[in-house]
Amino acid sequence: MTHNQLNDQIHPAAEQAISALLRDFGEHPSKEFHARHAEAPWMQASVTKQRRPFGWHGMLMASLTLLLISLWFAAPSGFVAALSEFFGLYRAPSDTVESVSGPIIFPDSVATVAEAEALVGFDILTPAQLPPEIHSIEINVDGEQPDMFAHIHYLDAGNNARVSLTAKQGPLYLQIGATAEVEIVQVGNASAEYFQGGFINNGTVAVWNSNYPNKTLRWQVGDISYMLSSVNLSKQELINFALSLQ
Amino acid sequence: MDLITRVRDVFGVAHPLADQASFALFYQQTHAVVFRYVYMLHGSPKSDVEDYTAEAFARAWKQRHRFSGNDEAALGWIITIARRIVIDQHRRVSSAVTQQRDQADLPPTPEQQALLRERQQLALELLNHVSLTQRDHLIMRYFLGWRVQTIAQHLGCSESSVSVSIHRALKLLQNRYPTLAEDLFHDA
Repeated sequence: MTHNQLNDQIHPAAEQAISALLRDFGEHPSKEFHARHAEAPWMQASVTKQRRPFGWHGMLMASLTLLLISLWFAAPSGFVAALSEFFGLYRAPSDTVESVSGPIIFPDSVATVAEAEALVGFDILTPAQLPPEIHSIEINVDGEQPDMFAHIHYLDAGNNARVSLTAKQGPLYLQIGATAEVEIVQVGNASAEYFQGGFINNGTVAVWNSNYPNKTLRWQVGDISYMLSSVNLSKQELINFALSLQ
Repeated sequence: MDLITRVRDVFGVAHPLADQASFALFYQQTHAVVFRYVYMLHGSPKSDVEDYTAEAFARAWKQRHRFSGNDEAALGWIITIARRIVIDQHRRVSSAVTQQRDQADLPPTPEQQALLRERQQLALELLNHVSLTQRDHLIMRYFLGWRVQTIAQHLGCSESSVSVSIHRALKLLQNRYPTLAEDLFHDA
């Protein structure tokens, strides 16, 4: 009897684990699905004018720019980060990937968050109160609809980015090294992915270095993806910054 | 905060199906949720999931004039349509589904073990071990964030039957994956 009662109990941690797995199920439809629905009858209204078919080159450039800009502001001179693939958050087959060459493309700057929101087409969460060490912000918008990114760089007195926030509607793609350690952390009610490290250029290749001090936190609010990146803040400070967004 | 509330708060839709533009907005805001619901209910392949999701919105579009209610009801309505499509499909190919489940019981190969480390694959694998009804209840409870009372109202059954179904599914998965919580929270 006691054995049966014990067997009948659901351990809270087991329920929590199953709940987290289902809650965080984040698979997205393919670009073919979106292309098919661009022709759907309900998309022939005014919304159609705002949407363009999925642009492979646009996505490629946007993803590349996203990473380069994030790490340009965060990295000491001599360090350049690189991606080799662009369609999903995933581990590279190894810690060594082909390095990215060519000039860094800076996206368009805008003056206010409201202006950025108007361009990307969604509301961007921002901190209720800026930490005292933040003296100014720099805002960029890049990509093309429906894959537009907003980047907000929070600058210190030396005009260096103390922390950078990226927001995008839908999935936000990023590659990490094969040995990168990803930790699932809570940001309020949302599960977030946290990892430290970056791809460091070494000639024609870039090598993942988990000791590189850049830390990244990614999570989603509704259909909007957010990413915080910083070499200055600790993991807990990044989480606290994320919690302050409203 | 459940998913419906999050969708409503984030997007603030007044009447999601009132006209063509509103339906387009409703589609843009909910297609990912419906897609994931169908994916977890049906499982792979993804191409089937996309077809069923597309079919759900196509049916909703054709029947939109029959719908009345707010955004919360609209999400429930499209979920119901999607659910019927998946269940109809499973009835048609029940033998194939049984074969899939038999395969899932085989010991995973090293390649499969690598895939299972991915949380989404693991979620799909878990759901493959419970019945279609239990799967539906688990997805509504934990993915859509609906309360038992809401699920019961939505499906037209008793709260106790939903509770029992969820409890049995959790118990089955707990027994099948005794170290799931440890693996998920400590080895992430």
